[in-house]
Amino acid sequence: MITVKIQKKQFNPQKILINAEKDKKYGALVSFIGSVREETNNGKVKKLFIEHYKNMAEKIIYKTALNAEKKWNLDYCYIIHRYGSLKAGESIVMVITCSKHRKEAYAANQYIIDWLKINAPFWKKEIFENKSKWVEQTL
Amino acid sequence: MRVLYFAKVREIIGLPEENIDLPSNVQTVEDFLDYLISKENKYDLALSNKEAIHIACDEDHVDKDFILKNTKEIAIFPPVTGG
Repeated sequence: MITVKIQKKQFNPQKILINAEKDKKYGALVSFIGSVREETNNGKVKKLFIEHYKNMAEKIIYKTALNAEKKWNLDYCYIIHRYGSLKAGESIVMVITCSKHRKEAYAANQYIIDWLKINAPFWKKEIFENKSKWVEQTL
Repeated sequence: MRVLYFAKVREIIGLPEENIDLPSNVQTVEDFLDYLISKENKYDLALSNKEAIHIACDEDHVDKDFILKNTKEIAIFPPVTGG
């Protein structure tokens, strides 16, 4: 089962994890959460603005999840990514992958987040007290 | 053709999107970028470093030699930074 969500409002990772854990038919669950850092090389972050290309982002993330599901025989895959204005400490992205064994769940999770970072059309802009800066791609 | 701009490219050009009729001498993405760059200074500022410009046609990433003939929507943007 694949779920892809792209939304403006905050999400609750604990709640998402509890929901994923309800279905116990798989043996392994791996969860990744990416959050807004309080400080970067450019200073103390006031806010993080995330711009996105909606239709393409949904399409690419779903396709990535589908590839991962096939390759590692996943039982469950949940991906959520935010856009809009985020504060330090808030979650940006969460990826949950579930399979019979941990190896597959780990590999699939890393594949999804790595692929998303290179291909999904989101752009981050760090807002500081007196300046703002578009984040540059780091792989 | 619907042309979308994102992030820094959108800010420099000053528009999120516009409609542009393809001139007859424009065939590839590369041709289209050159056409925009020659059009106005703001496009030149935003797009002249072509290595740092990524393109999607009808919601799929494409290379600069992609033929635009049947493209309805082209998106022009800097490298993505999600996740």
